[in-house]
Amino acid sequence: MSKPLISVRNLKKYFPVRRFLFAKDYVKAVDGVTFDIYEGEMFGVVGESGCGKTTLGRTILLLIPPTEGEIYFRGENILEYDKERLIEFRRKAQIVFQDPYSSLDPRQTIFDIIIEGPRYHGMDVGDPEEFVVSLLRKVGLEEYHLYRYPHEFSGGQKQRIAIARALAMNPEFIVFDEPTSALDVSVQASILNMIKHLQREYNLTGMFISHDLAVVKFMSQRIGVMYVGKMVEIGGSEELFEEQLHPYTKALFSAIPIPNPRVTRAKKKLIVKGEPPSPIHLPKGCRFYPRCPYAMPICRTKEPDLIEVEKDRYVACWLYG
Amino acid sequence: MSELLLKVEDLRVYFYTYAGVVKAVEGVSFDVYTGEVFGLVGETGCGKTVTSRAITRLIPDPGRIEGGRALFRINSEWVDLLQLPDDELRKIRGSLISYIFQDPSSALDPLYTAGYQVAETITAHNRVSWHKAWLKAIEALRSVLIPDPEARAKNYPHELSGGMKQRVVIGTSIVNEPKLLIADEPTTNVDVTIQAQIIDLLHELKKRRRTAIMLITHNMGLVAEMADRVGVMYAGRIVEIADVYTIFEEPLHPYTQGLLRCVPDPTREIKELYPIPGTVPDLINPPKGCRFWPRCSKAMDICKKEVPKRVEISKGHYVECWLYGGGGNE
Repeated sequence: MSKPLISVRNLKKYFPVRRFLFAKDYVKAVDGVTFDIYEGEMFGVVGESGCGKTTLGRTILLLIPPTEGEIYFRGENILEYDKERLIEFRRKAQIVFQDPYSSLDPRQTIFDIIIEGPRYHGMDVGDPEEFVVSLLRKVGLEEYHLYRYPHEFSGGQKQRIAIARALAMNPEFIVFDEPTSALDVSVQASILNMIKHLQREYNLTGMFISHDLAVVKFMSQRIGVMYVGKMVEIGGSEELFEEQLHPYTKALFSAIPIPNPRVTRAKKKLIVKGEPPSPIHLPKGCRFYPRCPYAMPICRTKEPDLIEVEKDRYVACWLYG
Repeated sequence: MSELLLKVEDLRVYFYTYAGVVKAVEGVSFDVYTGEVFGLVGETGCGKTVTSRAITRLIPDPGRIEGGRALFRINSEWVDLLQLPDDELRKIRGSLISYIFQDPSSALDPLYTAGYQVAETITAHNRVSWHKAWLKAIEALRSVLIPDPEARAKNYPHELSGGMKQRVVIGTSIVNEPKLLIADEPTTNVDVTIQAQIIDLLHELKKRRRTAIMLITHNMGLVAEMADRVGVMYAGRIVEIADVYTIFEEPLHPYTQGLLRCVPDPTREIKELYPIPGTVPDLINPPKGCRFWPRCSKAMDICKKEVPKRVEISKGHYVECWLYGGGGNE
């Protein structure tokens, strides 16, 4: 297996919320997450809304500063980078946002949107127009789109532009934050195919965030499952779909309807009661225990660590020691 | 055998906008039987929501219902909902036919408590005291698995989570024991574990009260999970109707086939997805003939000239496509 490109160690991101006057509470959006992303792989992150998956993606790119923990890029702690190296990191690590309508500046042409980054970083791109056109072709757009504005494009096309903008920086790592959740299925299919092909062509390492398990499985080799700020299980995507270890993963996987009536109706379902806890007032111990059908006394008092139970299979649950 | 409950025939709904006349629904026909889930699937803008709202004439300006019939059986009599006087229709909405709308936050009034909104639905259709209605509302909230319904009934919508709000909406729509429940993307705004709870709830409702459910969604997984029969909608027309197994296993219309091939199935090894080429047509100037031909790999000359009629291929399996005749069942 290749080396880790990104290593995240005990990463935390707390957002303060004011209670009254000076008293403060914290939304523990990411609360101690540890994992590696290997070179050339697509690492999928799944979880329900509010589980902290988007915050995790943004914190890794230092778009928001972490509260605690370390992030390593090729073995170097990016939190200790000086300004120059940080700028270089920002070129190498890109993001494609969820909402293509708000992530493109409506007053810039497509050419300006794509060339802005390389210009800022002083990259040698040869003829800028040719450079942008070649990128547009890569993402399935044409030369005549060059001087149009974002409002002239459909949602799927905007997402293609956002991907071209990320590729323009010649990145080594891209975070895809729900890039297709705003799109229709027929459009989604072509964007997913394209990302897959580009990843191979550019030998990109990526993190693919989504709440759609089917999409994450199609896109990634390994998957991390998040629940209220914690990574509860990590494994190969095939293995994870084969067998889930953490009760939350079980519940999540059994809850997704599969587009095949015979399979989905025959499937055993583990329907968990209740809703996820608020990330401000977390239960003591394991944060899933109030909903967990297998909860034991220890689950109420001590939080389980993420441990390797099989090769490349990590679980944070007392059922597995 | 289930009885026919709703029969929609040749429904047409147009929107008169400044840009032109949007032919959102253009000749839609389907049946709904008691105790079944009829799934209506399609992508954004295909007219599935408009169709469902037109059944009880909930079409806002500048939309107009231009034609068709929506026959609904009350006891053993048939009424055409599209011809009924307004006050008669009001008696049906919220009692015999009720809706679960997509966005629970906008379906609830922020100024009234959850319990008030459920009780109001009861008193609007029944002669009962407010106290009795309130108690019945609490029972309704309990039946949709809201924990501690006595306390929750006094909460305002903003005090409830998304999943909880959606359950209040469902509670409101089932409290008068409707014969037909129209669920428009009932789980789009909730998480999968909450979605599983809501699916369970709707299943229970169908089994226990034999409520007919019309499920409107773009989620093929949800359809596979819940529907008994499925209508596939494209650009204002239902292009194929069949039972759920036939739709997924032997789809005939090229659009149905395309739609199924671009949805990733996590239980199978997939190397590549197959998107449908092209984009959804402009419904102000829809393509002549079959509205799908510009995107169809099997398009023939006749497809560009004439709209295919509905053909019954086998019992209960209808398709509108020239590949299968398209001249109608003569």
